[in-house]
Amino acid sequence: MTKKAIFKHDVYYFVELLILVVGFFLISVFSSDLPLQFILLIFILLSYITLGFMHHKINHEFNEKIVLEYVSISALILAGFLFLNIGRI
Amino acid sequence: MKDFFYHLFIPYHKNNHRSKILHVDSLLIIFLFLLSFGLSLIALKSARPDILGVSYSLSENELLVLTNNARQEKNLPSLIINQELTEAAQKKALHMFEKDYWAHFAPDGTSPWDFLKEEDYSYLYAGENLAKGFSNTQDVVQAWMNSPTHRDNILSDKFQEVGFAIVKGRLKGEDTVLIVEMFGSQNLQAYNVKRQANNNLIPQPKQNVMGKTENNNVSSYIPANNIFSQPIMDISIPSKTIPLFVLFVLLVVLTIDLAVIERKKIPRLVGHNVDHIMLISIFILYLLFIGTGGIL
Repeated sequence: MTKKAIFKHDVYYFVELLILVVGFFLISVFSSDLPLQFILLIFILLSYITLGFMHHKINHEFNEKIVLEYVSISALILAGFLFLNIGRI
Repeated sequence: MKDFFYHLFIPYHKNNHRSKILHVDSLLIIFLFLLSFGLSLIALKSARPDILGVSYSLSENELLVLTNNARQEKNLPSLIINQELTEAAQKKALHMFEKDYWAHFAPDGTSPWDFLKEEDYSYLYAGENLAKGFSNTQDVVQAWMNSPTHRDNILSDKFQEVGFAIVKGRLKGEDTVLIVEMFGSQNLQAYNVKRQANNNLIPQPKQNVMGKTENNNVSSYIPANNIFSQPIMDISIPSKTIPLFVLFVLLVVLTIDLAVIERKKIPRLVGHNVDHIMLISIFILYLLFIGTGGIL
């Protein structure tokens, strides 16, 4: 892996980490507004999937299997969030 | 059995060098399990809240005692329960449920002070603390004490009286309990005029003082507004532990999968484990540190 490629990956991981940390921080801040929390989570997960696709398309191979993997992991997080809030629904 | 778990958790040639649990079909099964189990719990909670429900233990008496304890630690006089402030707090809580908002100022412009005026409470100083979604009184007062603005209200020497409301209802599609704490001190001139008028009309009711007085003795109580619910199982236990367990297992498997493949240098066409590890780790941290209620 070249230095340039490592730099590309670092930037990608940094952007992803930033979105995740800021996103979940906002979800914690708006803990009393369930619909807003849900919208924020959808935004985080869509960003996560989009970044994953971009990263694979630019630096690696990209196919349907990878799309399904990112969507499945995101769906699991969404299910976990809904499960966490069953007492509020 | 050993082979089954090895196949499930360790990447090797028989599972195409990807732990079986990380295959899309396995992830889909876990997703469907979480979804169907969650829906079953919601159905059980609706049908039998005595078996599975939200556990509450909230009382106005305890709110007053804890508020006055915090004041006494700062050598401040205890607050006295005022019926008008209590009524105003009740109306504020009901107004939030009716108009479906969670704020000091309603979307229609109604302010907290409007509820005081409605109750003929002629205030010199007034303040309001709000809380939502807490299951016990200690956590409510602790959350207020951790917030500088709410703590200022609790520890203000400008306030002499207080009123509480604890009301259960549905707000923004969510079953919750609202707690309103209204502080005030009355304009003495207006207070004396009102008191005089009351003396002329009806017998003066005995003033009720809840909580600890300045000499630390509990003097007397008025009937407290309590919300107490103790189902066989508190829903917050499975709702937090089950996703935590499932995601923790996935996190461990992803880490093992990454370590094994990096060591063996096996090329494969799958998503980045580092991506998934970051997402799941941050969500687990969120699950661990999330509080139950909110304050305003």
